[in-house]
Amino acid sequence: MSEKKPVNRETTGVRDLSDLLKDSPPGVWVALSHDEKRIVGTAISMQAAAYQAQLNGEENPLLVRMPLAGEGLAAGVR
Amino acid sequence: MRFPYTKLFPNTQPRPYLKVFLRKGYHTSIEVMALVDSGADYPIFPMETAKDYLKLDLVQAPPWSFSGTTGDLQAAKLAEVLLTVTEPGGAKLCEVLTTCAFCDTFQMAGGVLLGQIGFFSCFKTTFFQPEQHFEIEQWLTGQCPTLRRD
Repeated sequence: MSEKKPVNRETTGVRDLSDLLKDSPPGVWVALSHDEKRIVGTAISMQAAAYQAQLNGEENPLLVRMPLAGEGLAAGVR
Repeated sequence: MRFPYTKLFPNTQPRPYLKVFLRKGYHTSIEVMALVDSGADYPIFPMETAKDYLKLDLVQAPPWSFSGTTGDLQAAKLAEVLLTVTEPGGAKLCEVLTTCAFCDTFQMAGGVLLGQIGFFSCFKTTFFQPEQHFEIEQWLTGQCPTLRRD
């Protein structure tokens, strides 16, 4: 029988972007500013979202794709 | 390196996401949110990444078919690229040579997927789900040849 290891309850805190993204349309790519505090682009394609970000002065955006309406996730793919 | 789980959307649970980008030669993709998914065989990116950013010619690339929970088959092409993982603070953590799948019909909430071959083969990954964080550490030996650590 294996010994139970104590669980380290120290947490770094969840990074929460849900409030920032909550009003973005389903299915689009959203470009976030490098500090992840502002939306600097929204488009159907990655390139268009990144271009909008550039126009808004963000050279290094982070892209996030919004889920389709009601989409959950069970992502085993083979 | 420790990473917090990320809650991206109001109706979803916090998940293990990393910020990553790809490189092939002088061509670099945009940085994208990537789900660390042990159920995926390969990292999967939209075909747009290969064509518009990396300028890959995938005509002769090996095909790969995959299916998710619906069982519907999706066609992808495999290519060897460099994958860079970014630290929470924004600095580059490391870059590894990996095989990625690129798919025209891939749509994934969040962005892209990181899978067994090409991510877990390169990084020892430990999930601390109750504490909502995970850790990755580059394997010293393994299937994935290490190119550099910044």
